[in-house]
Amino acid sequence: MQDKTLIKLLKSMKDDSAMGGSFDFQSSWERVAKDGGFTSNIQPASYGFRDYLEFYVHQFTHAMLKPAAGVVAVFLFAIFGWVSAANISGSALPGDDLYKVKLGVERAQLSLAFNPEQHASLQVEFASRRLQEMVEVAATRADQSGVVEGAVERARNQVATIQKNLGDDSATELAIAVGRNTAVYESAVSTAGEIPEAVREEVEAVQEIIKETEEQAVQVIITAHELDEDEDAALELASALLDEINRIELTYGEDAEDAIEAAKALQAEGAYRRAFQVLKDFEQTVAE
Amino acid sequence: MKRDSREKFLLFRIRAFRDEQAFVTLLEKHASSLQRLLYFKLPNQDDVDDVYSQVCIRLWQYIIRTPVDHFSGLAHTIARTSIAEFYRRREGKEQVSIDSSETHDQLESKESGERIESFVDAGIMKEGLGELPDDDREAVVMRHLEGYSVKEIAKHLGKTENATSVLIYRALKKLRKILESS
Repeated sequence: MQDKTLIKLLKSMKDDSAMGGSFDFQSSWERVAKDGGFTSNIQPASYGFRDYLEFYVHQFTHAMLKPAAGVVAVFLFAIFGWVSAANISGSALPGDDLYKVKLGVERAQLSLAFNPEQHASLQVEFASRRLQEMVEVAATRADQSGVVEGAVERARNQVATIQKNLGDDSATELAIAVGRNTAVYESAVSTAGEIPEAVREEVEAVQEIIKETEEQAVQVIITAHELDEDEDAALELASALLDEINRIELTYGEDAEDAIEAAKALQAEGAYRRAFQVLKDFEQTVAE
Repeated sequence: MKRDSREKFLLFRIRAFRDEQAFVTLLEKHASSLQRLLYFKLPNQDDVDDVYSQVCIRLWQYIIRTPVDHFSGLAHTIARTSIAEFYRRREGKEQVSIDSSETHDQLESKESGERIESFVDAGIMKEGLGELPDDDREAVVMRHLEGYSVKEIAKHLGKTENATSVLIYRALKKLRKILESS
């Protein structure tokens, strides 16, 4: 028998009751309606423009907006994850899993700084973080010598970078930022007594670099003031000189009275370089 | 509106508005195929009518709650589940054979070498179709009794059009072999 014959035979039997043909939809629906609680005399539907419009709006929102919402959700999830990791990493210390994230965020912030002032401010801020980390790690993880050494090394490098950058032509902003953070640096390294013996020399080297950096920053500001008579630089110098006078007064008391008076007189003339020099000479004389 | 879009539109109407008219329109298109599936698997017409009614109600309840892409595929899936339930309920009881004694008589009276048109009647054809695997039988029934396109059957069976064409071709060969050897 050819397939065509068989197909022809099948088609000829399609309405035969023995083949499940002669099916009456209307009567079958009446049974379904009765069992399922539907309306029994329903006619095939006809729909208008509004019905189709509703359908196409629904299709559009599901076909276009749903995938778009998915993409946005994934994007937000990634951003949220990154922001969360960045936030959590803010308190990470050397040796923590998220510490590298913290350093990465800092590098990104530095590369995104859009003016020298902001860049300088970030460099100085990161240096103070390294110093604080150094002290904290030394206090809490003294048994992990590699971690402590790494923290000290990073602090030294960070301050050394600032010192190097102070030699640039446009270092005034950085110098000003360093001047404003002097107290933070001194506070950080003042706890160096808790530093383990193994890295004490390294920490002292860091302290030395900080001191040099602070002095260099003052010199940069003085130079800027002398060249341009910059008002900002004048204010910074006034503040730095006041801090220095207070320190000398606290340390040497009445013995420093003449030197302080001389420095104040020079400040009144705008001769900041000489004012700082007078205080420095006094300290050297006392030390000898 | 294309056939697929029309079906999607009606499915949307059912789900969004519980539109019984849309349900009837869709069901009317596929009811014959559904009935025939039940007819080939169940013992008698009363059972077919019972299960058909049950399938329609389940179909409605499913569509008003869940987005559906393919009405026919869903209807046949629910029908197969209902058939399995039917036989589970009857487990332990004697099942009524779908093969009538008359059919057997006809099969036995066939003379070798006789042209198939002369000895195959609807009863024998039903018997032959009943011996095919489910997918083969459904494909042949949908294609040559219900007049579905290969594309629609492919969608229904979840196969490619090429695979469906091959399946129908092989199913016909199997059916011919069954009928010739009977």
